[in-house]
Amino acid sequence: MTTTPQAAISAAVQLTTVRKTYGTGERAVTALDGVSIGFAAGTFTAVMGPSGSGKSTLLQCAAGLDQPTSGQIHIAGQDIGAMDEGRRTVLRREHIGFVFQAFNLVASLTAAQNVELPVRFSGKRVDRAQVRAALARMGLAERAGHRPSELSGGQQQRVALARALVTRPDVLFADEPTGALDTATSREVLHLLRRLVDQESQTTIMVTHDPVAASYADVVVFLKDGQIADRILLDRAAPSNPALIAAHLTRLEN
Amino acid sequence: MLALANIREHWRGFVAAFLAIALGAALIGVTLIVYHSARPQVQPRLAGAPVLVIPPQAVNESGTPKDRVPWGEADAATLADRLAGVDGVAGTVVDRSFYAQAFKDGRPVADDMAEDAGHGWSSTRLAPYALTAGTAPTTADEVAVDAALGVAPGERLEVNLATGPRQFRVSGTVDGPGFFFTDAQAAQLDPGVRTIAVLLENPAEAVTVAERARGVVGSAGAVVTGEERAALEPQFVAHKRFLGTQLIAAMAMLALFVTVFVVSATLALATAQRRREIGLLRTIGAHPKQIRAMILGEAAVVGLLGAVVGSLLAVLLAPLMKAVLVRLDVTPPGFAIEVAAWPLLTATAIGTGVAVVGAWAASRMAAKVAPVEALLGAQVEKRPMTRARWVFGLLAAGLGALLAVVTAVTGADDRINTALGAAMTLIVAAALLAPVIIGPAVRALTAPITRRSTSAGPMLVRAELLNATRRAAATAAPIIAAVGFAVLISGMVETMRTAYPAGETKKLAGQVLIEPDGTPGLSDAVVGEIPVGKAALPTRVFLHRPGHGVTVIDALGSRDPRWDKPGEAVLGEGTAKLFGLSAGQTVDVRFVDGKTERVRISQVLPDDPGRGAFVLPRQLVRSHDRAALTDTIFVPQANAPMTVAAGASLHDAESYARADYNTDARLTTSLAMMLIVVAVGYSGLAVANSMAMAAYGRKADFAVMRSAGGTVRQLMTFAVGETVLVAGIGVALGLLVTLPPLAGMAAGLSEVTGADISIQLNGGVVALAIVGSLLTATVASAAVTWRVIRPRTAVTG
Repeated sequence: MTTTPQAAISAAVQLTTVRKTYGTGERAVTALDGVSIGFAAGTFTAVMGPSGSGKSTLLQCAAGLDQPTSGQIHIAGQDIGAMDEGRRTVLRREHIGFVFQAFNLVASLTAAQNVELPVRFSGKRVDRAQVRAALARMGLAERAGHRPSELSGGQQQRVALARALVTRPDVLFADEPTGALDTATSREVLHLLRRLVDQESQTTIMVTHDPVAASYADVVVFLKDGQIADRILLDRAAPSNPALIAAHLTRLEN
Repeated sequence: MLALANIREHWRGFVAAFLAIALGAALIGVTLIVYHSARPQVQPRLAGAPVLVIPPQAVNESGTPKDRVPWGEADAATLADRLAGVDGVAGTVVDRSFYAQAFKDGRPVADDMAEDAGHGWSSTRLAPYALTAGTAPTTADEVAVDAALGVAPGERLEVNLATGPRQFRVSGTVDGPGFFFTDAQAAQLDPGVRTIAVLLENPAEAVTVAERARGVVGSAGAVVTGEERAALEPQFVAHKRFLGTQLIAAMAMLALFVTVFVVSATLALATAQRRREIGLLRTIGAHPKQIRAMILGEAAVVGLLGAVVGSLLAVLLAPLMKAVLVRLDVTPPGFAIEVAAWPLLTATAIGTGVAVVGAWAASRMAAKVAPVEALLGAQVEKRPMTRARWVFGLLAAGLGALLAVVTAVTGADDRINTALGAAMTLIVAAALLAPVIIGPAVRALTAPITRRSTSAGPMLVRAELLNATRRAAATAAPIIAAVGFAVLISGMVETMRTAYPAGETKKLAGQVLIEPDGTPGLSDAVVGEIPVGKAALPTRVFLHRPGHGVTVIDALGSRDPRWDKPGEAVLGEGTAKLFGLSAGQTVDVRFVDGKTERVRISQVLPDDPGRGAFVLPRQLVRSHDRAALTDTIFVPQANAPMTVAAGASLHDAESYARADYNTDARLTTSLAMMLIVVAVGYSGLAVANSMAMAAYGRKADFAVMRSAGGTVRQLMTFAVGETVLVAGIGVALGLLVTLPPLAGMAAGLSEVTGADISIQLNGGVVALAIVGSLLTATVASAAVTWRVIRPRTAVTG
């Protein structure tokens, strides 16, 4: 396969005919079946699909956490397939932020220490003011010294966001970031994500199964059987986006 | 920061490692403290002689510097004269030490130092000892003795010498131990000289005078001052220290091994339970090297803490160890515990190092955790065996098998150590390869139950163990070690206990033996009364060995008519080869009196410890080593005397063999008991810890099972059932690994003793080790499981 260089450079993350199969022989399962997609810088993309559609695999491959069976992935213009694990680690550290559904924080460290962690791993000096600002931005200035066990689920998720953003990553990946939260807390976290895109042009890619969560995005990508089934642009002014997305999803599942 | 925070958070995973390191560092610390305290000391009788001149050293068969080559009488006198002329020297004393022991009422007076108790009168100046009554000896029939002996000047005293008991008149008493003859008489009794003491005009000038003395002595000897004078310690002191050091060194080695084993097993388990957290660290930018450094850093911190605690513990334990060693009679006289900084610092450093070494495998495993594992819902083990695990496991198994074979063929001295080495490597092999064995074992053991039973328990046990064979292997590992060591060590002692007396009795059948009784050896008077039978006179002789210089070996003066031929020597093949000699050649033999004789090698015969490696005529040895004593006389039953002289006793073959072995056995048994306590104590610790960790690590699983309708009782049954199964597999493996070394040992002993020796096990110790391990594992697992699943209690941590 050849890559179009332009595509790789214009998008923050570019996948080119990415295939991913698990297992071998008769028991082989194809999770991604030749997916090509670019995520433009400064946009918020939601990835949706029924369970087993390959949306988590897509995220893991796009973020360089997992290796595709074939195809190419460019992050910040660099082909991560050509890198060894050490260089991929450095790339992740410098260009990518992560938020997961749960178990986002190191239990033994305080909120502030969790936020510092990526900076420490990169061997740079920790700027206390920067850490404090990152937490304040998430409304957690008062909670810097607390351990994860002393924080609510929404607060934990916001600490995770602060940590993901402290290194000013090119792309933020979020895997069901509101999956473990109640409706009100979910809304808080989603508002934060949206504000980051609007105010700081933070490229964000979020996997979710919740149409309400997806309605905060600019673009919704639908996956089915490891392939891209649909892609819709949302009108940010329209109030009926969740219903529109839910309808799309229902059509896909039938 | 992260390493410290992790230790605080996951302290449970580090408890066993911490305790193991503390214990290991304590044992190593005790060993080093005892070693330091038992180091050679300047003999009190030389306290007032700041500068000593000693002869050059010869090497032994393996090239290690060993005995000093005594000067002849004339050489010593010349050297002493020249030293007397050195600036600042007030005088010189030619010092001699030889066997002398008082007999009272025909019985020897007990004296540890008897072999070196006889001296010339001048030697009293070296301590110095002063007359408390009477005068110095002036004739060959007079002796000055220790006032503590309770004999007044003018009284008569029987003193046993190498030639036999002699009557002396006590000319005076002194305030220190020893028998002081006239210098001429001392030279007569022991012509060879091992020390010339230099007395100073001004004691503060020791260093400068020593420097001047070196110019005079040249290559004829060495000049020592201060602590270096400890080089002149008596042989028996050195021997006792050697026994004691061997004992505790074996224990320290085992402690070191078990510590590394326990630390690596528990840290591997702890790391396996943290895969998700490590995956999280990887996703947020931790390099595999950083993960590795983190695990090693945690180990270093825990190790340092444990080692510091252990070193302090060592200070408390050292007097206890002293008491044990004193009771075993393996300490030099006047042995006192002296706590210096270096043993504690060394133990701390070793403890920390051991922790890091133990964490090596865990850190490798942690560095391989993929970032995506942070996203996986459950912690799933991928493969039970990695390639490295296969490679190292098989290597260890091969090495262990090899060592078991070596155990069979090696010499008696190395047999215990090789057997221990074989057991250690086989235990490592069993622990590494355990996942391979656990799968089929669990399948075979649970199949009959799961097929019939309708309850959830057996199904769960089977599924859990089959899906987490590595975790099961980690919990079984300490049990393998505990049972393995307990069975091996007790089995070795038991096997040797039957083997040695059986072999010896067989060899000595039809003979009676005359042994020293209250004396360090038999005098010529005792030997002379029994004209028939072997009565070898041991001595040390110095030979030139091409390429190695002056070499010291054991020689025997024999009265066996086959070898006792004037001017001739019989060599064993090994010795002949070592010196490049063959039958018919002549060789110059230097004796301990400083004189050299040329002897002809009449025969070179196969090695035979019963005959000796270098056999000379008895009369030749006696004429050059006038202080030598005979160890044992072997007499054919038919010629057995009814009574023997004072200082000797009569034995039949069997009682001799048993008594002879009992001396060894006392040490071996104590060593074995100490080793078993160390190995089992440690491993028990690790067993309890890993069971507890395994139960804690499954809190989530338990919660799921409870919500699926499992009662507390069912879950407890399940947890205990699983533990018993894993512990049972560990016990079986532990028993299995001991068989090759024990078989090797039995085969070796059969070969040596000519008797048919089979493996002997100590039933009590075996049962205790098995029941103890099973009980520890079950109790720990049940207690923690109960804490985790007991009803209506919020569990934290």
